[in-house]
Amino acid sequence: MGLQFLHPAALWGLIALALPIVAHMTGAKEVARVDFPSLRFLRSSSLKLRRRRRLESLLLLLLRSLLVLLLVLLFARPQLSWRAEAPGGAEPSQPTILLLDASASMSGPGDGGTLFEEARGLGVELLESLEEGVPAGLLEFDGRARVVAPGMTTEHSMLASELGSLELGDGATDLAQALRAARDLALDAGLETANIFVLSDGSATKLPAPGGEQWPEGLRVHYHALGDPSARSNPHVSGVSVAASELQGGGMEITAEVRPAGQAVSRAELRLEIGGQVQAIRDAEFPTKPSEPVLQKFSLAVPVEGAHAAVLRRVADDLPADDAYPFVLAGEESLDVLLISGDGGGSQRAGETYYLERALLPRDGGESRVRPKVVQAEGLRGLGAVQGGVFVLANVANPGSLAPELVERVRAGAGLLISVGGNVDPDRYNEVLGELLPAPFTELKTRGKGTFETASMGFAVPPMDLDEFRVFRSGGLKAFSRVKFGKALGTAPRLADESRVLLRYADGLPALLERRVGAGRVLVFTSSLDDDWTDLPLRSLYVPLVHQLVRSLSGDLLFESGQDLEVGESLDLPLPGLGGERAAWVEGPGGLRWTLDAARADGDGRVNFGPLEQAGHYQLFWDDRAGGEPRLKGVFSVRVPEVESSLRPASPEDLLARVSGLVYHRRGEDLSASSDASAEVVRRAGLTPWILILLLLVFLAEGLLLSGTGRLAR
Amino acid sequence: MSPSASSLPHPLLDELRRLILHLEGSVRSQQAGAHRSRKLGGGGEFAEFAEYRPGDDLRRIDWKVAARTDRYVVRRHESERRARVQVILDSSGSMGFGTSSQLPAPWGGQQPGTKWSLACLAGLLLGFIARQRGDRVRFALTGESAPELAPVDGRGLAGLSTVASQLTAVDPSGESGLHWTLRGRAGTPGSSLFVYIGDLLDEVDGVAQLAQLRAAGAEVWVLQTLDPAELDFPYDEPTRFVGLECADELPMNPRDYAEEIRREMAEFCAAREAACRHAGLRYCLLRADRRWDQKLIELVEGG
Repeated sequence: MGLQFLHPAALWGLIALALPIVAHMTGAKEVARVDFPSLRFLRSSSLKLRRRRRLESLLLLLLRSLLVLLLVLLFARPQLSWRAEAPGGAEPSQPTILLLDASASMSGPGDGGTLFEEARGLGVELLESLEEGVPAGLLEFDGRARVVAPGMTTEHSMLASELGSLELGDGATDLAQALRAARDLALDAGLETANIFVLSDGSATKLPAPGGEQWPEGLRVHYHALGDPSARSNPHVSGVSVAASELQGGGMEITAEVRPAGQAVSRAELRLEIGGQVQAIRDAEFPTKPSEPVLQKFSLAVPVEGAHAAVLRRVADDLPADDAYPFVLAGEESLDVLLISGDGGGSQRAGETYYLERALLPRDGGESRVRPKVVQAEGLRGLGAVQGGVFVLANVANPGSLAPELVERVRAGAGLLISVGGNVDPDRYNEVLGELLPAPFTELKTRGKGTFETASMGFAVPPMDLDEFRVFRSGGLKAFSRVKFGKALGTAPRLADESRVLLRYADGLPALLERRVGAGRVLVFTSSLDDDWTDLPLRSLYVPLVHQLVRSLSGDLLFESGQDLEVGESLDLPLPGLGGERAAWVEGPGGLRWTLDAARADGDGRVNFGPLEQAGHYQLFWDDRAGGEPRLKGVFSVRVPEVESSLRPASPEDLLARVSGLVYHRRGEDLSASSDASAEVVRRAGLTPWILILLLLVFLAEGLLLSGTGRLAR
Repeated sequence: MSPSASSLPHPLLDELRRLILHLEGSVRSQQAGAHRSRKLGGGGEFAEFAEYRPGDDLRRIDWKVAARTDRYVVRRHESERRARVQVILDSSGSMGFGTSSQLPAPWGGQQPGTKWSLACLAGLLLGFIARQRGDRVRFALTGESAPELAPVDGRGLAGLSTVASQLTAVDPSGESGLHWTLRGRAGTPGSSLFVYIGDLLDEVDGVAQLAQLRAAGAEVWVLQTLDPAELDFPYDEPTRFVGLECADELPMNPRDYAEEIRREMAEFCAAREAACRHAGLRYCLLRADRRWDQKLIELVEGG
C-alpha cells in the first residue's frame, strides 16, 4: 500500500503548523491592571480549574494543529494505492466500456445468484479498478443494445449504481449489434483506444460475421464467459399445437414439443394452465436418445370457446426464464347466420337468399365457421328455438310476427341485417320495426328504367376508416363504383339515436345504415341482396362485402388472436378507426400498457407494435363506443426465443475468428490467445472525502470545547 | 423632623440630606413614640434613673429622689430607655473598591462610588434615624489603629457633622481587624445595638466575632456591603488583578474562571448569611446597584 499526493507542493503549507504552537506558547497578553478587593476567590478558582484549563488549552492546540494539517492535506490531495485483483483484461488507465448481457439465458445459476448478477458484480469490479478521471460506459443488450445513460462518463460510482438497477430481460442475444453499439459509443466519444468487456454466458443468437465488420485497432474486446452451459440442464417447450379432439364428444387436444438442452434428464414435468388455473400435469419422458424432442399431449374434454391465455409451465430448472411457455388457446367459434327469406322464388336461384347463402358458405361441405341456415318467412311465426348470432331479413314482406323476438334478440347482442326488395312495404316496416330501423323508409327510388341493366347508379366511395370497408383499401374501391342499382328504398333524412350512414349511393342516398340497439346492431341495406334490383350479387365485391357485414354484426370483426411470437419480434395490430374518441391499447405482462398511436397507422389501419421485449400474454383493447366498455379485440402471446433455451454457447474459437483481437476469458481455462479471468491492478482511492469529514469533526470539536469553556467569542 | 433646609458644608452630609428627603416618609415613622418596637415606645419594667433633660416628660420626674437629693431625675422604663447604637464601619483596604459611581441614585446624584462611601452613608442614615428616636449613637472603625470617632450629639444632621468629617478623612486600608474593635464591647449591658457595615472579606471569620456580642445579649445587625463587580465579575479580558488589602497580584484570563468565581462569591455570601441567621444576627446584603436604601429602611422597620 502506498501514499501519493496529487499536489505535493502544497505540503510546504505544513510550516503553518508552527502558528498554533507559537500562539500557545506565548499565551495571552495582559491588557489591564485592575485593583480588586480580595484575590481570595480569584485565586481559589484559578487553583481549582488550572489543571482543567491546561488540558483544554492543550486540546485546543492539538485541534488547531490538526486543522492546519488537514487543510494542507486538502490541497495536497493525497491518494492511497494498493494492488488488488481485477477481472482479466482490466487496465485502470484505459477507457472502458461494459457490455452486459441481459438476455434470457442469463437467468441461469451463477456466482452470487444468477449469471446476470454475477455479470453485474464483475462489471462493478471493473469500474472500481479504473483510475479517477478515466471514461467508462455501460451498455446492456439482448436482442437490442441500449446505452445506459449518460454514455461515456468519468462518474464511475454513478455507472455502478446504474449497473445495479438494470434488470434481466427475456430476449435473445445479438452480440453483433451489441459490439457495434459499443464501437460506436467509443468512436462518438472520440476514443482512439478502449477496452470493451463483454460479460455474457456465451450463448449468442447473432454473432458478427467473420471479417464483416471494420473493427478499429485501438478497441480491444475482452469476452468474459460466465457459467458453464454444459453443466446446466434445461428441458424446455419448443412448440405447441392445438387441434380438435378426435375423441367422441369433441374437446381439444394440446400437443407440446419438449426439447432437451444441456445435461440430459430422463423426464420433465409439465403443467397446463388455462386462465391461471392448473388443468393437467404430465411428465414428458425422454427416451434413450436424450437429444431428440418428445411430444406430450394434453386432452381437454370440453371445447374451449373464445381465446384464452394458456401456459405450459416447467418446474424450475437451470434456466428459469423459459420455464413458462405462454400461448393462446383459441377455440373454434362458429357463427350461425339465420337467413329469413321473404321469397322462395320459383327456382332455387330466384330465391331471395340464394346468393347470400352461397356467399357465406362458398363450398358445400367446405370448412367454414360461418353456418348459414335458410328459412322461409312465410308461415314463420317466431324464431322459437332457432339459434342465431346474426339474423338476415331478406325482402320479407311482413316481419310483424317476428318483430318482438328480433327486438329482443338484438337487444341481447344479436346482429340483424335487413335487405329490401319488391315485398317490402315501407310503412309496414316502419310500423313494426320502427325501434330497430336507423331511419324510417320513405318511397321507392328508381334509376334508369328500374333495372340495373339500364341504371348507372353505383355506390359512392366507401369510407375506408370504417371496419366494414377496411379490407377494401387495397384494390377494392373501384368495385364499389361499378355496381349498378336500378332501385332502392329511400329513407328519411333524420336518423334515429345511435344511428349512422355507413355507405351511400353515388347520388348521395343512403345505401347502408347502422343502428345500435342495446347490445346488438342492425344494418339496413336499402336495395336487394339478390339480383332483382342490383347486380351486386354478380360482382366480385359481393362475397367479401357480405362476409364483412356479417362479421361486423357478429362483433368479431378484425378479432386478432392466437399469434405466438418470440421476444424481439413485432406484429401489426388494427386500430378501430381514425380520430374521435376511438382509442386502442395493448395490455401486457406486469400490468404494462401501451397506447397505439393512430398517426402511425398504415394504409390498412394497422400499426406496428414492437419489438416485444417481455414474454407473456398481451391483450388488444378498443375503446370505440362512446360511453361503452372497452372491447377485447385480440390476444397474443410472446415467449422467450428458443435459441436462448438451447444452451448452445458460442465457442471461443468461433468468437476469436469473428472479432479481431478478441481476448477470451474464462476462469480455470487455459486457452490460446486468451488470458486469465483475473488480473492484478493498482487501485487508487482519493482521501479528500475523508479529509473533509475530519475537518468538519475538528470544527465541531473546537466549537464544543470553546462553548464548554465559555470562550467561544475569542 | 426634616433636616435643615440650608445646605450643609459637607458632601457626605449633603448626600445624606438628599437621601433623607427622599426617604422622608419612612424616616419620620421611626421617630420616638411613633414606632412600637422593643427599643421604642412606653411600658415595661423600670430600667434606670436618668438625669432630667429639657424635653423629658415632667410626669416621669421622680419627686422622691428630687426631694432627697435635690436633683431632678426621671424614671426610665425598659422600653423607654435610650438604646445605645454602635455603628462599626469596616475600614479595611477592600472597602476602598467601587465601580458604582456612575450609577444614578434615586435621591438625585450618583450612587456612592466605593463600598466605603456606601458604608458611611448607610451608617450615617442609621445614625440619623437612631438619633431621631432618641437613641445614643456612636461610630467606630475596624482595625487596631483605628481612630476614635466623636460621639453623635444632638439630633438632626448637625449632630452628625463631626463624625461625618472624620469618616470623610478615612482612607480605607489594611486588613479588617474587627476583633480589635469588638474587644471590650461584648460586656456592654443590654439594649445595645451593634450594626456592622462591611464586606466580611477578612480571612478571620467576622461573623463569629459578632456572634459573641449577640451571645452577650446585644442586638447585632450585619450589613454586608459588596460592589456589583465583586458579585457579577464582569471581566473577560486578560487582566492583572491587584489585591487592595495586601500587596498581591494575580494575572489571569477572567473568561476562563468567571463562572467559577461568581459561583464561589455567591456561595460565600450565602454562607455568611446562613452563619448570621444561625447566630441570631440580622443580615442584609447592600449593593449600590440594588435599592440598598430601601433595604435599610425595611431592616429598621422590621426591628
